[in-house]
Amino acid sequence: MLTTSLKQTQIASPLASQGVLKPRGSTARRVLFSSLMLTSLVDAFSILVIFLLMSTQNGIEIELKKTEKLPQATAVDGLERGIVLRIEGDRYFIDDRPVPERGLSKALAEAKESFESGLLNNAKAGLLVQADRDMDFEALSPVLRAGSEAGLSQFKFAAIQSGK
Amino acid sequence: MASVETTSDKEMTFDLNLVPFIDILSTCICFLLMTTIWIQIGVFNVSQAIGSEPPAGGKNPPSVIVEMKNDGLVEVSLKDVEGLRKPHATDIRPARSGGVDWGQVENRITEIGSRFPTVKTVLVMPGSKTRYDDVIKMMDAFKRNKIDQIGLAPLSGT
Repeated sequence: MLTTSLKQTQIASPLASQGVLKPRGSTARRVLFSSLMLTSLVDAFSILVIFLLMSTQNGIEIELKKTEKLPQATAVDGLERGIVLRIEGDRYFIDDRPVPERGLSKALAEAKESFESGLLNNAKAGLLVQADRDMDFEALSPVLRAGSEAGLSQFKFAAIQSGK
Repeated sequence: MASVETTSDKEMTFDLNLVPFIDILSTCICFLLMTTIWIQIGVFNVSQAIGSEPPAGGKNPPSVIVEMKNDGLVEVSLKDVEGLRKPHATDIRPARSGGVDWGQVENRITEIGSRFPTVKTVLVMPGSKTRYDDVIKMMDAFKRNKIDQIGLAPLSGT
């Protein structure tokens, strides 16, 4: 005879055995063996899923190399879309495309134009600089100059949010 | 009446089979745990004003100029601040262990913030060998003290 799991659960249901009008279930021992109250487990799982969904809703992300260590800062804002410029030693990458130091200004101007053409309400593009914290300032200086020459006024330095 | 007769106690009290639901939730949790971002990355905003002309005859805003030398020495000077007739400059010597003495720098910035609340502009001028981390730390210290109009000067000749 085929018995479904639902039917079995119904027969030995703890809820049914607690009924006021006509309690079901033969013995308390059978109820203990047959089923668990899974509602609280489902509740906990649902809360976990909602928490994880909320914490991953920010769609903007940048790729970090394993060896790359970003500087730490407290007064940081959330990540926004922009032209991403990565500095690795003395090499520069605009949106993962290698660019020589001499061509930075031109490449940034082109990136700005193409980025702003996709924005509404004449919004301005910002330059997101991603660099290792142990880097010397002399590697960053050409970026600042080239960015200004390209007409970029908003510089955003990627940093890890620290407690203090 | 018919509905009363056909509805038995057995139909009124039933349990949902929650096992498949738990399976789906477990899969969701595993997927989200594997794909979630654990390091909170933000951005430190700086507005550069190089290339734009100041208004003719306009008054310069009160500002702080911070020069960071390669050896860790920091020169902090105030400019165009009301009540200060002479340029006000302070040298902060490097820490004994080397690098910038962050304790002294923090004290000085806090003092500027409390004594001259009209000062909202700062220009940071790092040296060629100044660490990028120190530059960010310096700008962060000013921002924490509500001096948030920060400019970063490139090296001359780059």
